[in-house]
Amino acid sequence: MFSYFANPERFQNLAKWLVPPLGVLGLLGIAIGFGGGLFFTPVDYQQGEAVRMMYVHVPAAWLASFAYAFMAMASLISFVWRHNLADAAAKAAAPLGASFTFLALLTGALWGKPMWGAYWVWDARLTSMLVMLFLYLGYMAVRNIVPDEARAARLAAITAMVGAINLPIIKFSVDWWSSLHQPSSVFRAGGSAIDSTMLWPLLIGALGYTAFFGWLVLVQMQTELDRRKIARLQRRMAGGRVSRPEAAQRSLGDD
Amino acid sequence: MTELLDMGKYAGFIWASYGVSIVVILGLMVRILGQRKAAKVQLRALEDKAESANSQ
Repeated sequence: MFSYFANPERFQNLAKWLVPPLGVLGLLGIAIGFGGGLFFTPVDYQQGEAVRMMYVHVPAAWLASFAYAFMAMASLISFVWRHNLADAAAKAAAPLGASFTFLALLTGALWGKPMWGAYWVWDARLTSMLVMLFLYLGYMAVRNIVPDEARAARLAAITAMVGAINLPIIKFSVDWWSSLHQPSSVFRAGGSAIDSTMLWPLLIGALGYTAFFGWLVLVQMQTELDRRKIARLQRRMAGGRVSRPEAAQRSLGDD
Repeated sequence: MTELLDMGKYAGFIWASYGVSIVVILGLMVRILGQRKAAKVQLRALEDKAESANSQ
């Protein structure tokens, strides 16, 4: 399967089909999740209106971890099988994951202040999320600092794979340590603890965030492939004459 | 309408959390789609340049 999708031309054809519906699904899901959370869900009996922040915080936090798992998996494929498209996928996921981790931390702080009385506490869940933000930033720093592209990709892949140890820590931090953060209330043994009148915008919003992530990862991968083609074309033009179809063919084949 | 928008004593926190979420989402979208467009334009220009260089 990996070798099937290793062909950039095949990927570009697939991406052309997937990009528009993912974009529409993403933006629509986010709009419905936000609108539903703000205007069409009941207030919580304990938190009152503050519960509306759940509809922006929880999907961002879920996506932050999902994006990291995606980046670590793509890094593993890139590292083991030298799969250039997997490397492009990991590279594309990093800034998106970092942005959503930042968003989860920021919306969490805004929710924490009225509920806990503090924007920030050195709680296991919050701290492990902060560590994940640093892991994303570290991954991007390695890619930017190391001048040799292939070496940067391998070092960044190692960073991403080692950092994956933080994912179960994030997930189980609320069970392993005494925490101000509430335990899992959606994906837990015995079913969701959230009433369906409050659950639907959360799930639609999370689906929207995920589609949005998929959309922008694919767009960034397309951009990355174009950049690699540009670099090769520039090198070949500097070194000798090359025809347009030949240039395109060679660029694709080299990826 | 006013009743619908009234978030009580937590309004500042609620609107701020939705506001930053929208800003980040739109920011990512604009940046990534902008980079895609710029790369496409640059690639097309280079391909045209390569073609005209070869035809001379």
